[in-house]
Amino acid sequence: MARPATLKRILQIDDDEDILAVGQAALEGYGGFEVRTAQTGGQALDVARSFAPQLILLDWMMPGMDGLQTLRALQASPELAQVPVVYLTAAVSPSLREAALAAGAVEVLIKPFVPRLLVAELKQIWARCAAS
Amino acid sequence: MPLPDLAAFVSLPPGAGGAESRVKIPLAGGGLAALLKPVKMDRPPRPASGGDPRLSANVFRVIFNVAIATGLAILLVIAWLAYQAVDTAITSGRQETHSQEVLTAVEEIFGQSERAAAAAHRYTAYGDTRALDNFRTLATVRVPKELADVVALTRDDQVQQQRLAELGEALKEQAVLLELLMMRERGTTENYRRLSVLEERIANLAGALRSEETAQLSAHRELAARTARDAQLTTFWGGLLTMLLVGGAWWIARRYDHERELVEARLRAAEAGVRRLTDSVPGMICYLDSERRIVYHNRTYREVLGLSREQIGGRHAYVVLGAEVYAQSRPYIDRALAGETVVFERVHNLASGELRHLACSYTPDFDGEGRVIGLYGMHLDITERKRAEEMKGEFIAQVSHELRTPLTSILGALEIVNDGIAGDLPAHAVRMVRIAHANTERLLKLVAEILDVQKMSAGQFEVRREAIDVAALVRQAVNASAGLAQKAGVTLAADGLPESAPAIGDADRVVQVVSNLVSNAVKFSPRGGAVRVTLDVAPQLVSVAVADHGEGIPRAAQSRVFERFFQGGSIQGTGLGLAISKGIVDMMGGVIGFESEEGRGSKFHFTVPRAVVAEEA
Repeated sequence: MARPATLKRILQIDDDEDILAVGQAALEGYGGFEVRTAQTGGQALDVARSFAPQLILLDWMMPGMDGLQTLRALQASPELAQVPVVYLTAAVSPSLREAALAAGAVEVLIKPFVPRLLVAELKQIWARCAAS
Repeated sequence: MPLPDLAAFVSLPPGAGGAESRVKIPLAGGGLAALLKPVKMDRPPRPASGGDPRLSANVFRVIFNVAIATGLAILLVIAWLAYQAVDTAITSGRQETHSQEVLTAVEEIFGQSERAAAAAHRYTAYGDTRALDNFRTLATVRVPKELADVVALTRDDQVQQQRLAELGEALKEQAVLLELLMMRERGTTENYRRLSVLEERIANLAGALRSEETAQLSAHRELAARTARDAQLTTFWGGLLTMLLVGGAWWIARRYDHERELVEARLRAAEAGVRRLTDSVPGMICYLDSERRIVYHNRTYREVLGLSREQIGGRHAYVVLGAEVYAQSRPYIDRALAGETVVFERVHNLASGELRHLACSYTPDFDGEGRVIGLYGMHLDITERKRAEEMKGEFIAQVSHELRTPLTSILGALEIVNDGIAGDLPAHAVRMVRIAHANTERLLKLVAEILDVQKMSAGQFEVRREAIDVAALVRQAVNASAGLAQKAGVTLAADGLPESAPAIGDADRVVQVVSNLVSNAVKFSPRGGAVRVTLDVAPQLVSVAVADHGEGIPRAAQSRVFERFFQGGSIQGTGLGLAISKGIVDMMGGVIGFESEEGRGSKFHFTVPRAVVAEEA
């Protein structure tokens, strides 16, 4: 599937409203991306279908549908299955990282993040995805 | 422990004190361990009363044995004496008969000889020719025959033989003289004189023969009487003494039995006390003999295994524990029976399906010669403790996560404000935002460290093992610390690093270790000091060193540097950095260490393996 050369639309999913606000400010402020947010997995699916994000930033530990279940739901949806998913989580360990990558995530980034560096990393990941 | 100090053994009949039929337990003043030790009842119990019980038991045994042995010896002597008496009596009877025969035969000779002389006189006086024939028969046939009989009877007696030979000669001479007188040869008067001399000699010889035999006869009679008297006396006194000895031995045995019963009763009571004591212990206690049979166990042991006394007592551990658990425990049993005290933990699957964590310790039991004769097993149920530890771990992980989430927002927001993304700040607010930012980072580092330490202590700390370039990571860490060094007025140099230094490890964790060592070095360096980072590539490993010329570590504190919460000098910090660094390096299969001299500085170094190394058990 051919992708546009530049990353523009990002969907961030996190149960914490403040992190969404900071994340959105960072992604928009440093990267100039168009950002939508969702606080639950269910909401994320709805937003994703209408917004058609190029990349999804997903939390791991969430009440209700957790990060892994949300990823599976996204993968189950034909129009979203190909969208690269990057985890952004505070609960990081090598085994969790392995589990996330095995489930189909393209990368695992850790919280807290430095906004400027987060944007740089996402750009790199996007470039990697576009190249493959 | 208020237990009776009874140095002795107890033997319980089946069903009396426990189902471990004939379990033998020594009860010594040596504490619980000694109380649990089973011992074969190869020695009689030691009486408990008065003095050293062992000594008194030995004295009893010696006296008993001596009494019995003496009694037997006396009986033997009596038997021997009786035999001697009977033998003497028989011999003496035989001798008497013999002497009587000899005397009779001697009398017979003289009888015949006198009849021959009478026949000769009758012939001489009346010319009776029948008397002449009679004389000749008696003198030449009967008398020599009787003489030959006596010679045969006394052939063992030389003196008598000599006398008989003389007698034979005299009788022959007498016969010749009588013949001459009967034939009225010349010199009759002379011949009568010679005959009279000869008859006197014969009478003397006969007297000597008789008195000799009579003397022998009375000597035999006397000997027989003496022997019989001796035998009588010996039998009487010996019998009396034997009766006394046997009676004494019987008395000793009876007293001994009584003492033994007393001791056994006391020991049974003590054993019951020990059993109650071990039964009250919430841990599983058992004793395995060298054949691996469980010869002692307490109530908890039974209850946890869900088995009855009969299913455990005296049975092999394999039978009691089952193949799986026995296989788990076997290496430890082997080690304990080889003389080593082993401590380990294992998970036990209850019959109900419930899992219990057991902390086990096996202590070898040695005999007097230092040989291992069994082991004491103690198993404590630490399931609740493990659960509490797990809950604590989960709680800390949860708290850490909950702390990091708001910190993410705070830090992100402050960065954005600081970078002017959210609009320009008034100049006086910028400094406040920076202070807030710096302290948020500090707080975040603390949370990360606490989480790392918690994971390490819970055994949940993980590191990646990937191909990394240590040189690049060192450069990254040094660059990240440049601001810190500059602020502290310390020169931070990492010159002479190789282009690359490939190794196997966790990139983030290597950066964390280098950053930690550099930040410590900077903190402990005086303003104007220098910190130097170097890197060496060896065939098997990459080695990184961070050297400073700071205050150094006092010798007394050097052994504690890698302990958690250890803080050197007056520099503030959590005291976790080096403990975590050591944990990380260890997990990656490397080694961390340092050299330090007080007042001259420190050099910390660690290695990262270049190939995957086997993880330590």
